[in-house]
Amino acid sequence: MTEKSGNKLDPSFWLSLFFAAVIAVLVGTATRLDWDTRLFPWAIGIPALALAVRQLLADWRGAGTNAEQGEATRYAGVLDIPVDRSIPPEEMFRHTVRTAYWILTFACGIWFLGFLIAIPVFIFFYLIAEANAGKFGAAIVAGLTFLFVWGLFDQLMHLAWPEAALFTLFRF
Amino acid sequence: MLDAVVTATGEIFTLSRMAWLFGGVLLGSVIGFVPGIGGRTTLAILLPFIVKMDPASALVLIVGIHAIGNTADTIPAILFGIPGSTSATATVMDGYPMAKKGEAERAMGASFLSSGIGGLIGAFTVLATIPMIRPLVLTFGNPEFFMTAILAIVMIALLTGGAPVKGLIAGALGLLIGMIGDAPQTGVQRWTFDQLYLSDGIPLIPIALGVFAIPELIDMTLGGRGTSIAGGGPITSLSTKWQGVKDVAAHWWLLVRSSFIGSWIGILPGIGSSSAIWLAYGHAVQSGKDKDNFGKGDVRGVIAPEAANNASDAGDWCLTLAFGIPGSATMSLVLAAMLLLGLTPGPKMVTDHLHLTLVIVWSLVLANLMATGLCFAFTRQLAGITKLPVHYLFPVLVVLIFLAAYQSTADWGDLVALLGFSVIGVCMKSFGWPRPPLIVGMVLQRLAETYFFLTTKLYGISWLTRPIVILLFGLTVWTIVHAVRRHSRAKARA
Repeated sequence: MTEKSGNKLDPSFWLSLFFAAVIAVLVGTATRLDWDTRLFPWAIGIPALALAVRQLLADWRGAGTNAEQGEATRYAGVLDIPVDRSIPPEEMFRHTVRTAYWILTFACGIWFLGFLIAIPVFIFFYLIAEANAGKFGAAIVAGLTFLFVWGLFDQLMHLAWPEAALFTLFRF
Repeated sequence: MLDAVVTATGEIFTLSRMAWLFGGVLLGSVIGFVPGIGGRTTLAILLPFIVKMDPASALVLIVGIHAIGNTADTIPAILFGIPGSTSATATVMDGYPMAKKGEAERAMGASFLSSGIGGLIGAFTVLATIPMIRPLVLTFGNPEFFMTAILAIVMIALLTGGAPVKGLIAGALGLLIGMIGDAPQTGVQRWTFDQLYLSDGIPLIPIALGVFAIPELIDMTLGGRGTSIAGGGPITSLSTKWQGVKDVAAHWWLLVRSSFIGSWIGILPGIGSSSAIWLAYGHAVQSGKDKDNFGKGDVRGVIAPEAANNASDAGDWCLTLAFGIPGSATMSLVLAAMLLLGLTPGPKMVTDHLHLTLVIVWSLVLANLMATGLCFAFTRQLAGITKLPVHYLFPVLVVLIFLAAYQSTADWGDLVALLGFSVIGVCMKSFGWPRPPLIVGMVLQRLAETYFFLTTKLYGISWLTRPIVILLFGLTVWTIVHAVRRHSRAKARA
């Protein structure tokens, strides 16, 4: 973690930096557009960039004081579904990475196998690995979900599924 | 008028029409429950069949499907924190925390009743305002529409007393993300980086699901194996749907105010229920004496958006019927269906075809009653889902979220957008950045930009002197000053 005068920066600093950078890129690249097209992006983007820089500086200056406060105090008053701050951040991070791993695995499964095959496969293996379910129970849940998706999205809605890499790239 | 009322009443209260209406409500509830599908997709599926029906029956069926949509999309929002549609995003804020406290049944009871009453108030408001709807809408020109959009974004951005600057940045970022793609007035491609997917802009559904649903899904499994959404505790007698009914009765004035907000927003072209819910939610927070519980499971945070949501539907219908201007994507399909049925929406719908307009109003009233009754009947069973082990729900919900995102444009880009905005959503939630302004900014971007362009081109600087603009501008300034003062006071106390 980057440090300032020996004090850890608020993790929010990096998000502020990301948002400031995104806004700066959008405002900057808008200069290539004609006046009518860039008028509104600038009307919104330039004040937003000023606010983002202000927030960035506040996060930078507050590095020392913020570190002394608990997370619950630091983010108090934000109107959103509250995060369980009683869980240590390291544990929360590990859990987030583990869950993200499963979500990304499913995304890769869609790319490789296609939606209709990836769905039951993902559900089956997730239930076995994470829910400690029996093979029969996992197969039932996977099968029922497949039938629902196939019936609604494929047969009724005729959704155009993306082509699976297994069948296109590898000509399997 | 009286003749038309009698004719319309006679046409709607027949066995076949009531069956069509109930069929529409039933179908809409089954399909509308799936996140991201909603009434629009159901209508699109049924369009080829609807055009072969007689106009009154077809309209009744359409209303039935449409009316339940905004009631059923609340169910996944409350149970899993997954908004069934963008019109249910505000309900997630307090509905899902209520479910986590074991109060899903109470939240749904309050939500369904508010939806039903909101829909009725909306329908009767439309009925009462049909003769004066044209002058009423015409009091709002381009500058007033622009200021309404700005007020809505500022209001939501500053709802949070704890982080007003973050709220404003998130709102502006939502507006900027909404600008990706074709510029509405010049047609020039903006920030598409030569990607075909971005030329039409990023659809709202993958972003709303990424920002709201995935972070909640990650939190859902935090408790480990064998835990449930509602936690280990029993669903107490206090958390029944009847408690939700009592809540609605206790906050009846908020319900009425939110319904009027929804009705008015529904009548304004292009704004729609996705904004009405946040305006009503913002109103509930700002007018509430005790604000601390909002976002943590306050029933007022469910009542206000749900009432506004269904009330705005009636206004939306009115706009489509009287002006031929669809206020939302779903209403564009309704407009298409009406044209295919040989009905031309516009002034003639309130003169030559007044009885059909009244059939629609009647259908709205009855469909809202049926939808409320149907959802109410299954509240306990639905609430029971929150007692299932989360590790069984997780993979099924991930699948539904991916499908809901993908069906937006059936492009790989939808899934990439979902994953990208999931990361942003998780970071925003973890680091105390409010997420609602991002979504509201995106929802209102096109409207705000179009009216900003027209305003500056048509009025120059003189638009700032229009009375309603001054009023809306004053309200915007007051909202900012109020939020900054509240923030300063809170900092001084800390």
